[in-house]
This record gives sequence, structure tokens and C-alpha cells, in this order.
Amino acid sequence: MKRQPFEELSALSRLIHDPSRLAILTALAACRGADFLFLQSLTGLTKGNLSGHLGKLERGGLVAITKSFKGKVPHTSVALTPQGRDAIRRHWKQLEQLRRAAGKWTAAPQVKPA
Amino acid sequence: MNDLRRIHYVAEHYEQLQGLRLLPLSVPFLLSALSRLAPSATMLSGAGWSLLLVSAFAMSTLIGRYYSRQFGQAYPFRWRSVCQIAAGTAAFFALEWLQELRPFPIPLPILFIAIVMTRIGMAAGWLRSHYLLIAAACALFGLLPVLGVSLDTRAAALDGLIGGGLAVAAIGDHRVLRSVMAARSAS
Repeated sequence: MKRQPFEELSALSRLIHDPSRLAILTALAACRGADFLFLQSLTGLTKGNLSGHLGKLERGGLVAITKSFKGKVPHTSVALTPQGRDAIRRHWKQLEQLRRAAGKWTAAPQVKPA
Repeated sequence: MNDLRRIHYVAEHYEQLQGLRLLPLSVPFLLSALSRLAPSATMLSGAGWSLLLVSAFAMSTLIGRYYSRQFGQAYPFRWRSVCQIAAGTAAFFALEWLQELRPFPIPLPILFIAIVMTRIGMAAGWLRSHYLLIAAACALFGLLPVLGVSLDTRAAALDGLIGGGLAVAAIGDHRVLRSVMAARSAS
């Protein structure tokens, strides 16, 4: 049986669908990886917020975080895991299906007040 | 959705959007165009041209470091850029060959570049619309043979087109990158 749009909506992963995390994952999906400063500049998140979201994504197995030093400066690189890449691709597909389904919905005829 | 599309585009094309890296490369071409147009000006010698190009590449590397310090680093999929450049170059030379085989009134390679520039200008919701200016300049340049402009003037115009195109792309891309990054930082 075909699932209804609301069921599909509730099936969206909350870990991915949060706006900040969706922005992070969208940026990472477009490249092999990026450093912390790039993600911060592109998403406009504060260091603390970005760190928190990356922690959640790492615990969910969607991103891999590598910490190193460039000279004496700490450097954090982030990349999608294969699982993360699949998940964001699936998420975009689900959103696209929802968008298409929403395009077919028709508004109920408005009743004019007497 | 538009925001996410822009985020995706900027992350994918971050190196290309580091516009100021192109700016030093425009200088040798603009100087060459000027020296061709002004008969009194001295022509750039081969050594002078090479020196300018080497300096331009060195400056480009230094400017790349500025971008890394300012906005961080993204690691692109190299094979995508390589494939695009290889396909573009192959198409350009194929059209060049076709043009020599059967002369068309409008140079096909220039027309091809104008189409590519238009496509870049329209990408991600007209994010890099300054490329449309370059496309228009390419189209105008393509019309020069039809208008009966002399070969000397066309050679100067070609140098001007390359130099000017690089300068417009450089400043435009830099402004786009700064605005996208600054807008996100402010929000």
C-alpha cells in the first residue's frame, strides 16, 4: 500500500532534517571533505553550535572527524562516511518525493460566507 | 531550498570561487592588449611575458592562502574538475578543427565559450551572473569577423577579452564568495 505524505514526513530522519545539520551535510556531500572553519563560514554557525552538531552527526555515524595539527595550530577536518553519503542522498530523494506529492495536492474549495 | 542549493554549489566550486586568484593572470593579457592598441607602446617581450605569468601564478598561490585563512578549506572531488576541463578542452579543439575544415562566419570555439559562460552564469539561481557579461563579450567578439574588423584589432580584442574576462570573473567570484560567507556569518 502506498504511504501517505504525512507518514513519509514523519519517516524523515530527525538527525538529518535539522536545518543546521542539513546544511552541514549538504556542504559535505558536495566535496570530499572540509575543515571546521569552512563549515563555520558557510553555515554561519557559532563554534559551539557547529561542534555540537558535528558531535551528533559523528555519533550517528554520518561523518568522520579527524583532528590534527598544522604546525602548532589544531586543525579539524570533517568528511561524510559512506553511510552518511547514502543517508543524505536518501534524504534528498525523500524530500523530492514529498515536494512532488505536495505539487499534486489541491486546495479545498473555499465556501463564501452568506 | 535555495539556501541549500547555494551551500552545495559553493562547497562544490569553492576553489573556482576564490576569484582573486585569477586577477594577477589578467594583467599580462590586458598589458598585451594595450601594447597592441597603442603603436607607441613597447610590445611585451617573450621574457617579459613569461616573467609576468610566473609572478601571476606565484601571487595566485599566495592569494589562495588568504582564502584558506579567511574561510577555511574544502577538498573537492578532483576527478570532476579534471573530467570537465578535459571535456571542455576536447570540445574546444574539435570545434577549432571544424572551423578550419569549413569556415563558418562566426568562430565556433568562441561561441562554445560564450555558451559555457552563460551556463556558469545561470547556475545555482544566477549566483555568478557576472559570467553573462563575459558571455556577451565573447558573443560580440565572435561578430567581429562579420563586421569586417581588421586582424590586428581582433588580436588586441582577443587579449582584451581574455584579460577583461579574467578580471570580471575574478572580482565577481570574489564578491559572490564574500557575500555568501558573510551572509551566513551574519545570520
